[in-house]
Amino acid sequence: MNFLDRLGNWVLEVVAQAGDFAILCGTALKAIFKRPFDIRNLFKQLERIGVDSMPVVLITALFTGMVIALQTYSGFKRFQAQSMVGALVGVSLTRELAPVLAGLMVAGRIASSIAAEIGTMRVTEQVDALEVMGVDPVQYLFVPRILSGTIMLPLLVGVADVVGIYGGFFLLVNVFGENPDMYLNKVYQYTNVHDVVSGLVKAAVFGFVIAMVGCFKGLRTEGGAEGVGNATTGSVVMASLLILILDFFLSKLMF
Amino acid sequence: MIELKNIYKSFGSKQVLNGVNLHVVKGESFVILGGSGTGKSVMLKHIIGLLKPDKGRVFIDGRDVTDFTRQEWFKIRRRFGMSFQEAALFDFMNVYENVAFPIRRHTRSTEEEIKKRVGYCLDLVGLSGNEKLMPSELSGGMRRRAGFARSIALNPEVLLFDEPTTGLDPVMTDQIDNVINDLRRGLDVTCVTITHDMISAFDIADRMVMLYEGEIVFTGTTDDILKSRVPIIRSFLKGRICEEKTQ
Ligand SMILES: Nc1ncnc2c1ncn2[C@@H]1O[C@H](COP(=O)(O)OP(=O)(O)OP(=O)(O)O)[C@@H](O)[C@H]1O
Ligand SMILES: [Mg+2]
Repeated sequence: MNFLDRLGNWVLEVVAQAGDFAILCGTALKAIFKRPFDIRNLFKQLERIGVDSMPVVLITALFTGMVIALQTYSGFKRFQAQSMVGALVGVSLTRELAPVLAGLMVAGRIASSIAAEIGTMRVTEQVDALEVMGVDPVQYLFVPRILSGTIMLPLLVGVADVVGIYGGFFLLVNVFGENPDMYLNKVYQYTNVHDVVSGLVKAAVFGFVIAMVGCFKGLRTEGGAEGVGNATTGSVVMASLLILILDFFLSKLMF
Repeated sequence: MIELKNIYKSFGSKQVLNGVNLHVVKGESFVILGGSGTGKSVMLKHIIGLLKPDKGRVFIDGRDVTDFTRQEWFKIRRRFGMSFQEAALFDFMNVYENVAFPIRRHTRSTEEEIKKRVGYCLDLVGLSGNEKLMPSELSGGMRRRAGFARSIALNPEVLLFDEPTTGLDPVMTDQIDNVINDLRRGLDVTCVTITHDMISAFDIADRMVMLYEGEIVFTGTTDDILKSRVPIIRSFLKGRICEEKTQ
Protein backbone atom coordinates (compact mmCIF):
# COMPACT_ATOMS: atom_id res chain seq x y z
CA MET A 1 0.00 0.00 0.00
CA ASN A 2 2.71 2.35 1.07
CA PHE A 3 4.66 1.47 -2.02
CA LEU A 4 1.63 2.06 -4.24
CA ASP A 5 1.00 5.37 -2.54
CA ARG A 6 4.49 6.47 -3.28
CA LEU A 7 4.33 5.23 -6.82
CA GLY A 8 1.08 7.12 -7.28
CA ASN A 9 2.56 10.30 -5.88
CA TRP A 10 5.57 9.94 -8.09
CA VAL A 11 3.38 9.55 -11.18
CA LEU A 12 1.32 12.58 -10.21
CA GLU A 13 4.46 14.59 -9.63
CA VAL A 14 5.89 13.61 -13.02
CA VAL A 15 2.66 14.44 -14.81
CA ALA A 16 2.38 17.79 -13.01
CA GLN A 17 5.97 18.65 -13.88
CA ALA A 18 5.44 17.70 -17.50
CA GLY A 19 2.44 20.00 -17.62
CA ASP A 20 4.33 22.89 -16.04
CA PHE A 21 7.22 22.30 -18.37
CA ALA A 22 4.99 22.38 -21.43
CA ILE A 23 3.37 25.61 -20.28
CA LEU A 24 6.74 27.21 -19.62
CA CYS A 25 7.97 26.15 -23.05
CA GLY A 26 4.98 27.91 -24.57
CA THR A 27 5.61 31.05 -22.54
CA ALA A 28 9.28 31.04 -23.49
CA LEU A 29 8.54 30.57 -27.19
CA LYS A 30 6.20 33.52 -27.13
CA ALA A 31 8.75 35.60 -25.24
CA ILE A 32 11.29 35.13 -28.03
CA PHE A 33 9.36 37.56 -30.18
CA LYS A 34 8.94 40.24 -27.54
CA ARG A 35 10.94 43.42 -27.38
CA PRO A 36 13.48 44.53 -26.31
CA PHE A 37 15.72 41.96 -27.92
CA ASP A 38 18.89 41.51 -25.95
CA ILE A 39 21.62 40.92 -28.53
CA ARG A 40 24.53 41.29 -26.14
CA ASN A 41 23.19 38.67 -23.81
CA LEU A 42 22.51 36.34 -26.73
CA PHE A 43 26.12 36.50 -27.84
CA LYS A 44 27.32 35.87 -24.34
CA GLN A 45 25.24 32.73 -24.15
CA LEU A 46 26.15 31.59 -27.65
CA GLU A 47 29.76 31.84 -26.71
CA ARG A 48 29.27 30.09 -23.42
CA ILE A 49 27.30 27.20 -24.85
CA GLY A 50 29.43 26.87 -27.95
CA VAL A 51 32.86 27.29 -26.45
CA ASP A 52 32.14 25.39 -23.26
CA SER A 53 30.77 22.40 -25.10
CA MET A 54 33.10 22.25 -28.08
CA PRO A 55 35.91 20.16 -26.51
CA VAL A 56 33.66 17.49 -25.00
CA VAL A 57 31.57 17.23 -28.14
CA LEU A 58 34.61 16.92 -30.37
CA ILE A 59 36.27 14.28 -28.25
CA THR A 60 33.01 12.35 -28.08
CA ALA A 61 32.58 12.55 -31.84
CA LEU A 62 36.14 11.55 -32.61
CA PHE A 63 36.06 8.45 -30.46
CA THR A 64 32.55 7.51 -31.52
CA GLY A 65 33.57 7.67 -35.15
CA MET A 66 36.61 5.56 -34.42
CA VAL A 67 34.77 2.96 -32.41
CA ILE A 68 32.03 2.47 -35.00
CA ALA A 69 34.67 2.10 -37.67
CA LEU A 70 36.56 -0.36 -35.50
CA GLN A 71 33.57 -2.53 -34.65
CA THR A 72 32.04 -2.57 -38.10
CA TYR A 73 35.41 -3.18 -39.68
CA SER A 74 35.94 -6.31 -37.65
CA GLY A 75 32.42 -7.48 -38.50
CA PHE A 76 32.33 -6.53 -42.16
CA LYS A 77 35.76 -7.94 -42.86
CA ARG A 78 34.36 -11.42 -42.17
CA PHE A 79 32.41 -11.22 -45.42
CA GLN A 80 34.78 -9.02 -47.35
CA ALA A 81 32.57 -5.95 -46.99
CA GLN A 82 35.07 -3.64 -45.30
CA SER A 83 34.57 -1.13 -48.09
CA MET A 84 31.12 -0.45 -46.63
CA VAL A 85 32.45 0.79 -43.31
CA GLY A 86 32.40 4.38 -44.58
CA ALA A 87 28.74 4.12 -45.41
CA LEU A 88 27.86 2.85 -41.97
CA VAL A 89 29.94 5.39 -40.12
CA GLY A 90 28.50 8.25 -42.17
CA VAL A 91 24.88 7.24 -41.83
CA SER A 92 24.93 6.25 -38.20
CA LEU A 93 26.88 9.30 -37.09
CA THR A 94 24.92 11.93 -38.93
CA ARG A 95 21.49 10.46 -38.31
CA GLU A 96 21.81 9.25 -34.80
CA LEU A 97 25.00 9.15 -32.86
CA ALA A 98 26.35 12.64 -33.29
CA PRO A 99 23.12 14.42 -32.27
CA VAL A 100 22.29 12.08 -29.42
CA LEU A 101 25.74 11.80 -27.91
CA ALA A 102 26.46 15.48 -28.36
CA GLY A 103 23.03 16.17 -26.84
CA LEU A 104 23.79 14.03 -23.83
CA MET A 105 27.22 15.55 -23.32
CA VAL A 106 25.89 19.09 -23.63
CA ALA A 107 23.02 18.20 -21.32
CA GLY A 108 25.56 17.26 -18.69
CA ARG A 109 27.45 20.49 -19.10
CA ILE A 110 24.95 23.12 -20.04
CA ALA A 111 21.61 22.06 -18.57
CA SER A 112 23.31 21.72 -15.21
CA SER A 113 25.15 25.01 -15.39
CA ILE A 114 22.03 26.87 -16.48
CA ALA A 115 20.02 25.24 -13.71
CA ALA A 116 22.66 26.11 -11.13
CA GLU A 117 22.91 29.67 -12.34
CA ILE A 118 19.19 30.41 -12.47
CA GLY A 119 18.60 28.35 -9.33
CA THR A 120 21.10 30.50 -7.46
CA MET A 121 19.42 33.60 -8.79
CA ARG A 122 16.10 32.22 -7.60
CA VAL A 123 17.19 31.48 -4.04
CA THR A 124 19.08 34.76 -3.67
CA GLU A 125 15.99 36.67 -4.84
CA GLN A 126 17.65 37.95 -8.01
CA VAL A 127 14.75 36.56 -10.00
CA ASP A 128 12.36 38.42 -7.70
CA ALA A 129 14.44 41.54 -8.22
CA LEU A 130 13.98 41.19 -11.98
CA GLU A 131 10.25 40.81 -11.53
CA VAL A 132 10.08 43.85 -9.31
CA MET A 133 11.91 45.91 -11.92
CA GLY A 134 9.28 44.93 -14.42
CA VAL A 135 11.67 42.70 -16.34
CA ASP A 136 10.23 39.36 -17.29
CA PRO A 137 12.70 36.67 -16.16
CA VAL A 138 11.43 34.37 -18.89
CA GLN A 139 12.32 36.94 -21.49
CA TYR A 140 15.52 38.18 -19.91
CA LEU A 141 16.99 34.89 -18.72
CA PHE A 142 15.36 32.17 -20.80
CA VAL A 143 15.27 33.61 -24.30
CA PRO A 144 19.02 34.10 -24.81
CA ARG A 145 19.72 30.67 -23.39
CA ILE A 146 17.17 28.72 -25.38
CA LEU A 147 18.05 30.55 -28.58
CA SER A 148 21.71 29.81 -28.02
CA GLY A 149 20.98 26.17 -27.31
CA THR A 150 18.84 25.87 -30.42
CA ILE A 151 21.42 27.58 -32.62
CA MET A 152 24.58 26.15 -31.13
CA LEU A 153 23.78 22.48 -30.90
CA PRO A 154 23.27 22.00 -34.66
CA LEU A 155 26.57 23.77 -35.23
CA LEU A 156 28.31 21.56 -32.73
CA VAL A 157 26.74 18.50 -34.29
CA GLY A 158 27.76 19.64 -37.77
CA VAL A 159 31.35 19.79 -36.61
CA ALA A 160 30.92 16.52 -34.75
CA ASP A 161 29.73 14.83 -37.97
CA VAL A 162 32.88 15.87 -39.74
CA VAL A 163 35.20 15.00 -36.87
CA GLY A 164 33.51 11.65 -36.30
CA ILE A 165 33.77 10.70 -39.95
CA TYR A 166 37.38 11.74 -39.92
CA GLY A 167 37.87 9.58 -36.82
CA GLY A 168 36.69 6.57 -38.77
CA PHE A 169 38.86 7.57 -41.69
CA PHE A 170 41.91 7.87 -39.48
CA LEU A 171 41.37 4.46 -37.99
CA LEU A 172 40.76 2.64 -41.26
CA VAL A 173 43.46 4.32 -43.25
CA ASN A 174 46.21 4.83 -40.73
CA VAL A 175 45.66 1.80 -38.54
CA PHE A 176 44.21 -0.83 -40.85
CA GLY A 177 45.82 0.49 -44.00
CA GLU A 178 42.65 0.57 -46.09
CA ASN A 179 42.28 2.70 -49.19
CA PRO A 180 41.48 6.31 -48.22
CA ASP A 181 39.37 7.06 -51.31
CA MET A 182 37.25 4.00 -50.75
CA TYR A 183 36.17 5.14 -47.31
CA LEU A 184 35.29 8.67 -48.30
CA ASN A 185 33.55 7.55 -51.49
CA LYS A 186 31.28 5.33 -49.49
CA VAL A 187 30.60 8.13 -47.02
CA TYR A 188 29.53 10.43 -49.85
CA GLN A 189 27.66 7.77 -51.68
CA TYR A 190 25.50 6.56 -48.82
CA THR A 191 25.10 9.58 -46.58
CA ASN A 192 22.55 11.84 -48.20
CA VAL A 193 21.37 15.31 -47.37
CA HIS A 194 18.33 14.00 -45.59
CA ASP A 195 20.49 12.07 -43.12
CA VAL A 196 22.53 15.11 -42.25
CA VAL A 197 19.58 17.46 -42.07
CA SER A 198 17.52 15.14 -39.92
CA GLY A 199 20.46 14.92 -37.53
CA LEU A 200 20.77 18.68 -37.39
CA VAL A 201 17.04 19.10 -36.81
CA LYS A 202 17.29 16.69 -33.92
CA ALA A 203 20.22 18.66 -32.61
CA ALA A 204 18.23 21.88 -32.71
CA VAL A 205 15.40 20.27 -30.77
CA PHE A 206 17.82 18.82 -28.24
CA GLY A 207 19.51 22.20 -27.85
CA PHE A 208 16.18 23.81 -27.12
CA VAL A 209 15.27 21.08 -24.65
CA ILE A 210 18.61 21.26 -22.84
CA ALA A 211 18.46 25.01 -22.30
CA MET A 212 14.78 24.89 -21.49
CA VAL A 213 15.16 22.16 -18.89
CA GLY A 214 18.01 24.06 -17.27
CA CYS A 215 15.87 27.19 -17.07
CA PHE A 216 12.83 25.26 -15.88
CA LYS A 217 14.66 23.45 -13.09
CA GLY A 218 16.47 26.63 -12.14
CA LEU A 219 13.30 28.66 -11.88
CA ARG A 220 11.63 26.03 -9.71
CA THR A 221 14.50 25.89 -7.27
CA GLU A 222 13.53 26.15 -3.65
CA GLY A 223 15.42 26.15 -0.41
CA GLY A 224 18.97 27.40 -0.53
CA ALA A 225 22.14 25.70 -1.64
CA GLU A 226 20.68 22.23 -1.30
CA GLY A 227 17.84 23.20 -3.61
CA VAL A 228 20.33 24.44 -6.18
CA GLY A 229 22.14 21.11 -6.00
CA ASN A 230 18.92 19.21 -6.55
CA ALA A 231 17.94 21.43 -9.45
CA THR A 232 21.33 20.86 -11.04
CA THR A 233 21.29 17.08 -10.93
CA GLY A 234 17.59 16.99 -11.68
CA SER A 235 18.13 19.02 -14.82
CA VAL A 236 20.73 16.61 -16.19
CA VAL A 237 18.49 13.62 -15.60
CA MET A 238 15.45 15.30 -17.09
CA ALA A 239 17.30 16.68 -20.12
CA SER A 240 18.98 13.34 -20.84
CA LEU A 241 15.74 11.41 -20.59
CA LEU A 242 13.92 13.89 -22.77
CA ILE A 243 16.68 13.67 -25.37
CA LEU A 244 16.46 9.88 -25.52
CA ILE A 245 12.66 9.90 -25.66
CA LEU A 246 12.45 12.68 -28.22
CA ASP A 247 15.16 11.03 -30.26
CA PHE A 248 12.90 8.06 -30.83
CA PHE A 249 9.92 10.12 -31.88
CA LEU A 250 11.94 12.44 -34.07
CA SER A 251 13.60 9.47 -35.76
CA LYS A 252 10.20 7.97 -36.39
CA LEU A 253 8.91 11.26 -37.73
CA MET A 254 11.83 11.89 -40.08
CA PHE A 255 12.41 8.27 -41.02
CA MET B 1 -2.50 54.15 -2.16
CA ILE B 2 -1.61 50.65 -0.98
CA GLU B 3 -4.10 48.57 0.88
CA LEU B 4 -3.92 45.05 2.24
CA LYS B 5 -7.27 43.65 3.29
CA ASN B 6 -7.43 40.66 5.56
CA ILE B 7 -4.42 38.88 4.08
CA TYR B 8 -3.79 35.27 5.02
CA LYS B 9 -0.69 33.45 3.89
CA SER B 10 0.81 30.13 4.88
CA PHE B 11 3.75 28.11 3.62
CA GLY B 12 2.91 24.44 3.93
CA SER B 13 1.56 24.02 7.42
CA LYS B 14 3.20 27.20 8.67
CA GLN B 15 0.74 30.06 9.00
CA VAL B 16 2.67 33.30 8.45
CA LEU B 17 0.10 36.04 7.93
CA ASN B 18 -3.15 35.86 9.90
CA GLY B 19 -5.49 38.46 8.55
CA VAL B 20 -3.26 41.47 7.99
CA ASN B 21 -4.92 44.82 7.33
CA LEU B 22 -2.86 47.75 6.24
CA HIS B 23 -3.40 51.05 4.54
CA VAL B 24 -0.50 53.14 3.27
CA VAL B 25 -1.48 56.67 2.29
CA LYS B 26 0.08 58.38 -0.70
CA GLY B 27 3.16 60.40 0.20
CA GLU B 28 3.71 59.02 3.65
CA SER B 29 6.61 57.16 5.12
CA PHE B 30 5.35 53.97 6.55
CA VAL B 31 7.44 51.75 8.76
CA ILE B 32 6.85 48.09 9.50
CA LEU B 33 8.24 46.82 12.77
CA GLY B 34 8.26 43.34 14.14
CA GLY B 35 10.42 40.53 15.41
CA SER B 36 12.50 38.33 13.21
CA GLY B 37 10.45 35.76 11.34
CA THR B 38 7.08 37.37 11.98
CA GLY B 39 6.37 37.78 8.28
CA LYS B 40 7.42 41.34 7.48
CA SER B 41 9.22 40.42 4.29
CA VAL B 42 6.35 38.17 3.30
CA MET B 43 3.96 41.06 3.81
CA LEU B 44 6.07 43.39 1.70
CA LYS B 45 6.17 40.85 -1.10
CA HIS B 46 2.39 40.80 -1.18
CA ILE B 47 2.34 44.51 -1.89
CA ILE B 48 4.32 44.06 -5.06
CA GLY B 49 2.83 40.78 -6.20
CA LEU B 50 5.82 38.53 -5.60
CA LEU B 51 3.58 36.45 -3.38
CA LYS B 52 -0.13 35.86 -3.73
CA PRO B 53 -2.31 35.74 -0.62
CA ASP B 54 -4.19 32.55 0.25
CA LYS B 55 -7.07 34.77 1.26
CA GLY B 56 -7.66 38.52 1.25
CA ARG B 57 -7.21 41.28 -1.30
CA VAL B 58 -4.50 43.72 -2.28
CA PHE B 59 -5.37 47.15 -3.63
CA ILE B 60 -3.11 49.67 -5.33
CA ASP B 61 -4.63 53.06 -6.01
CA GLY B 62 -8.01 51.55 -5.28
CA ARG B 63 -7.60 48.86 -7.94
CA ASP B 64 -7.82 45.28 -6.90
CA VAL B 65 -4.52 43.81 -8.06
CA THR B 66 -4.81 40.48 -6.26
CA ASP B 67 -5.54 38.46 -9.37
CA PHE B 68 -3.39 40.44 -11.76
CA THR B 69 -1.52 38.43 -14.34
CA ARG B 70 2.25 38.72 -14.52
CA GLN B 71 2.00 41.02 -17.51
CA GLU B 72 -0.31 43.37 -15.63
CA TRP B 73 2.05 43.38 -12.68
CA PHE B 74 5.01 44.22 -14.90
CA LYS B 75 3.24 47.42 -15.92
CA ILE B 76 2.38 48.46 -12.38
CA ARG B 77 5.83 47.72 -11.07
CA ARG B 78 7.48 50.38 -13.19
CA ARG B 79 6.25 52.80 -10.53
CA PHE B 80 7.84 50.80 -7.73
CA GLY B 81 11.33 50.42 -6.43
CA MET B 82 12.23 47.73 -4.00
CA SER B 83 15.38 46.87 -2.14
CA PHE B 84 15.66 43.34 -0.84
CA GLN B 85 16.76 42.18 2.55
CA GLU B 86 19.73 40.33 1.06
CA ALA B 87 20.23 42.98 -1.62
CA ALA B 88 19.60 40.56 -4.51
CA LEU B 89 22.23 42.21 -6.68
CA PHE B 90 22.74 40.49 -10.03
CA ASP B 91 25.93 38.60 -9.43
CA PHE B 92 26.95 38.58 -13.08
CA MET B 93 27.16 42.39 -13.24
CA ASN B 94 29.34 44.87 -11.42
CA VAL B 95 27.92 47.51 -9.10
CA TYR B 96 27.66 50.11 -11.85
CA GLU B 97 25.76 47.81 -14.19
CA ASN B 98 23.46 46.72 -11.39
CA VAL B 99 22.38 50.26 -10.69
CA ALA B 100 22.21 51.09 -14.38
CA PHE B 101 20.13 48.01 -15.14
CA PRO B 102 16.64 49.42 -14.47
CA ILE B 103 17.55 52.63 -16.28
CA ARG B 104 18.70 50.74 -19.33
CA ARG B 105 15.63 48.56 -19.37
CA HIS B 106 13.03 51.23 -18.92
CA THR B 107 14.35 54.45 -20.38
CA ARG B 108 16.09 55.55 -23.52
CA SER B 109 18.78 57.43 -21.63
CA THR B 110 22.13 58.02 -23.23
CA GLU B 111 25.24 56.49 -21.73
CA GLU B 112 26.13 59.96 -20.42
CA GLU B 113 22.81 60.36 -18.60
CA ILE B 114 23.06 56.88 -17.17
CA LYS B 115 26.53 57.57 -15.90
CA LYS B 116 25.37 60.72 -14.19
CA ARG B 117 22.38 59.07 -12.59
CA VAL B 118 24.29 56.00 -11.43
CA GLY B 119 27.07 58.17 -10.07
CA TYR B 120 24.53 60.23 -8.17
CA CYS B 121 22.76 57.20 -6.69
CA LEU B 122 26.01 55.55 -5.65
CA ASP B 123 27.19 58.78 -4.10
CA LEU B 124 24.01 58.97 -2.02
CA VAL B 125 24.77 55.64 -0.42
CA GLY B 126 28.50 56.25 -0.08
CA LEU B 127 29.63 53.79 -2.72
CA SER B 128 31.41 56.11 -5.13
CA GLY B 129 34.59 54.54 -6.38
CA ASN B 130 33.25 51.00 -6.10
CA GLU B 131 31.55 50.92 -9.49
CA LYS B 132 33.76 48.24 -10.95
CA LEU B 133 33.46 45.76 -8.09
CA MET B 134 31.41 42.63 -8.51
CA PRO B 135 28.77 41.85 -5.86
CA SER B 136 30.85 38.95 -4.56
CA GLU B 137 33.62 41.43 -3.76
CA LEU B 138 31.39 43.59 -1.55
CA SER B 139 30.72 43.37 2.15
CA GLY B 140 27.17 42.66 3.31
CA GLY B 141 26.55 46.30 4.12
CA MET B 142 27.97 47.51 0.82
CA ARG B 143 25.76 45.06 -1.03
CA ARG B 144 22.73 46.31 0.81
CA ARG B 145 23.58 49.89 -0.07
CA ALA B 146 24.13 49.01 -3.71
CA GLY B 147 20.73 47.32 -3.71
CA PHE B 148 19.28 50.44 -2.18
CA ALA B 149 20.89 52.58 -4.87
CA ARG B 150 19.46 50.33 -7.56
CA SER B 151 15.96 50.61 -6.11
CA ILE B 152 15.98 54.40 -6.33
CA ALA B 153 17.72 54.63 -9.71
CA LEU B 154 14.52 55.19 -11.66
CA ASN B 155 13.00 57.72 -9.25
CA PRO B 156 10.03 55.49 -8.47
CA GLU B 157 6.85 56.83 -6.88
CA VAL B 158 6.67 54.05 -4.35
CA LEU B 159 9.66 52.67 -2.54
CA LEU B 160 9.72 49.43 -0.60
CA PHE B 161 12.77 48.89 1.56
CA ASP B 162 13.36 45.62 3.34
CA GLU B 163 15.70 46.38 6.22
CA PRO B 164 17.85 48.90 4.35
CA THR B 165 20.01 49.68 7.36
CA THR B 166 20.42 46.34 9.10
CA GLY B 167 24.07 45.59 9.55
CA LEU B 168 25.27 49.09 8.72
CA ASP B 169 27.32 51.18 11.06
CA PRO B 170 25.53 54.08 12.83
CA VAL B 171 26.96 56.73 10.52
CA MET B 172 25.93 54.85 7.42
CA THR B 173 22.52 54.11 8.92
CA ASP B 174 22.02 57.77 9.53
CA GLN B 175 23.04 58.57 5.98
CA ILE B 176 20.55 56.10 4.51
CA ASP B 177 17.82 57.48 6.75
CA ASN B 178 18.63 60.93 5.46
CA VAL B 179 18.44 59.71 1.89
CA ILE B 180 15.00 58.26 2.57
CA ASN B 181 13.88 61.53 4.13
CA ASP B 182 15.31 63.58 1.27
CA LEU B 183 13.62 61.40 -1.30
CA ARG B 184 10.30 62.06 0.33
CA ARG B 185 10.78 65.73 0.82
CA GLY B 186 11.77 66.44 -2.73
CA LEU B 187 9.19 64.34 -4.52
CA ASP B 188 5.83 62.94 -3.81
CA VAL B 189 7.24 59.58 -2.85
CA THR B 190 5.58 56.92 -0.77
CA CYS B 191 7.90 54.79 1.32
CA VAL B 192 7.33 51.51 3.06
CA THR B 193 10.30 50.49 5.14
CA ILE B 194 10.90 47.43 7.24
CA THR B 195 13.34 47.96 10.02
CA HIS B 196 14.50 46.56 13.32
CA ASP B 197 16.27 49.73 14.20
CA MET B 198 14.08 51.88 16.45
CA ILE B 199 16.24 54.95 15.96
CA SER B 200 15.83 54.66 12.19
CA ALA B 201 12.14 54.05 12.58
CA PHE B 202 11.64 57.23 14.57
CA ASP B 203 13.85 59.10 12.16
CA ILE B 204 11.90 58.30 9.03
CA ALA B 205 8.39 57.24 9.98
CA ASP B 206 5.17 59.16 9.65
CA ARG B 207 3.31 56.11 10.78
CA MET B 208 4.32 52.66 11.91
CA VAL B 209 2.76 49.29 12.30
CA MET B 210 3.91 46.43 14.43
CA LEU B 211 3.57 42.89 13.16
CA TYR B 212 3.36 40.14 15.71
CA GLU B 213 2.51 36.52 15.06
CA GLY B 214 1.11 37.30 11.67
CA GLU B 215 -1.15 40.08 12.83
CA ILE B 216 -0.87 43.83 13.06
CA VAL B 217 -0.94 44.60 16.77
CA PHE B 218 -0.32 48.32 16.51
CA THR B 219 -0.85 51.11 14.01
CA GLY B 220 -0.11 54.72 14.72
CA THR B 221 2.24 57.65 14.58
CA THR B 222 5.59 57.82 16.31
CA ASP B 223 3.94 59.61 19.22
CA ASP B 224 1.30 56.95 19.53
CA ILE B 225 3.85 54.21 19.83
CA LEU B 226 5.63 55.95 22.66
CA LYS B 227 2.37 56.20 24.56
CA SER B 228 1.29 52.68 23.77
CA ARG B 229 0.63 50.35 26.67
CA VAL B 230 0.66 47.16 24.63
CA PRO B 231 3.24 44.92 26.28
CA ILE B 232 4.77 43.63 23.05
CA ILE B 233 5.39 47.17 21.90
CA ARG B 234 6.82 48.25 25.20
CA SER B 235 9.29 45.44 25.17
CA PHE B 236 10.13 46.07 21.52
CA LEU B 237 10.83 49.69 22.40
CA LYS B 238 13.10 48.50 25.11
CA GLY B 239 14.89 46.49 22.49
CA ARG B 240 13.51 43.13 23.35
CA ILE B 241 11.28 41.01 21.18
CA CYS B 242 8.50 39.63 23.25
CA GLU B 243 8.85 35.89 23.17
CA GLU B 244 7.72 35.13 26.72
CA LYS B 245 4.08 34.86 25.91
CA THR B 246 4.56 32.21 23.28
CA GLN B 247 6.56 29.96 25.53
N1 LIG C 1 9.32 31.07 0.42
C1 LIG C 1 9.07 30.61 1.65
N2 LIG C 1 8.82 29.31 1.85
C2 LIG C 1 8.54 28.84 3.06
N3 LIG C 1 8.51 29.58 4.17
C3 LIG C 1 8.74 30.89 4.06
C4 LIG C 1 9.03 31.48 2.78
N4 LIG C 1 9.22 32.81 2.97
C5 LIG C 1 9.06 33.02 4.28
N5 LIG C 1 8.77 31.88 4.94
C6 LIG C 1 8.50 31.75 6.37
O1 LIG C 1 7.70 32.83 6.74
C7 LIG C 1 8.10 33.35 7.99
C8 LIG C 1 8.25 34.83 7.90
O2 LIG C 1 9.33 35.13 7.05
P1 LIG C 1 9.77 36.62 6.76
O3 LIG C 1 10.90 36.51 5.81
O4 LIG C 1 8.61 37.40 6.33
O5 LIG C 1 10.26 37.11 8.17
P2 LIG C 1 10.68 38.59 8.54
O6 LIG C 1 9.62 39.14 9.42
O7 LIG C 1 11.03 39.34 7.35
O8 LIG C 1 11.95 38.30 9.44
P3 LIG C 1 13.38 39.04 9.42
O9 LIG C 1 13.24 40.26 10.24
O10 LIG C 1 14.30 38.05 10.03
O11 LIG C 1 13.69 39.31 7.99
C9 LIG C 1 9.38 32.64 8.37
O12 LIG C 1 9.10 31.78 9.44
C10 LIG C 1 9.77 31.84 7.17
O13 LIG C 1 10.18 30.58 7.58
MG1 LIG D 1 12.67 39.90 6.39
